[in-house]
Amino acid sequence: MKPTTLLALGAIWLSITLAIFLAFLYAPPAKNFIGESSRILFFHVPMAWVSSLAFILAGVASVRYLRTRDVRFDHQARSAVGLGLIFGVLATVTGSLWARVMWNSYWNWDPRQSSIILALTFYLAYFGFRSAVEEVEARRRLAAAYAALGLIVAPFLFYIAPRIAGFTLHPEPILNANLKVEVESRMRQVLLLSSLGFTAFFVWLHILNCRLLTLLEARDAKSLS
Amino acid sequence: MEPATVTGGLGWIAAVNAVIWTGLFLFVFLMHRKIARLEKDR
Repeated sequence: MKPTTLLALGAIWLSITLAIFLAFLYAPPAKNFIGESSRILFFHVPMAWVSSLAFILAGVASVRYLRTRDVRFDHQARSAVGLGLIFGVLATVTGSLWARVMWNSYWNWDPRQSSIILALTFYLAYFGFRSAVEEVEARRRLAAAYAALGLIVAPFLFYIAPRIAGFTLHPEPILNANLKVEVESRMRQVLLLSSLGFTAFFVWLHILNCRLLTLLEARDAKSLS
Repeated sequence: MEPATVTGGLGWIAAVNAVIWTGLFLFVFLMHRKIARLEKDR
């Protein structure tokens, strides 16, 4: 392994480890939150951010696949959707734990909860489409067209729908309606570190996943020939 | 509210989270090495 790779991986480990300790021991509990429940924010927000990033990345890779028919973009889209689903589920679980403390119920059909469930269902169907089509090229084209549609669906569900809904129990998003981050400075520092760490961790997983998909495809091609 | 300390309840929660994260990191790191080895053998 190259020294630069090792250094980058060390930085990922360190940033998330630091974020964990700072989230519990440095950042103050937020006002208007019950007890220490606001500390889950340092994990819930990065998970939701990484999930939306992954879905947008999958859409971009899918558009590139449709234009070039380069199989690497299909791998990128498939990997990004899978990871987006994992991070989306983690965002939903951390959000539900927090909702239990604040609203006394794991699930309230709040606009944000509804929109993330719709987004996860939409992307779960991506794998349904993939497994429903036998012919490889047709499967890739259909999956790419579907994930490209996600370029409209994901931003709408993550960023627009919760904002146009007339009611919400959810606190003001980190980036509020005036496009300003109005969070206590220590909380902002930890949130930034945590978001950077989890984004870098996602990039690492995504690269590995794409390499793995290439290996699996080569193995399948070898066994067929 | 009492300030958080390394030896307090929040310190323990942070330590447990850090151990879980380190375990996950090592698992992915080993996967990384295995994938690199498979690519080399191909």
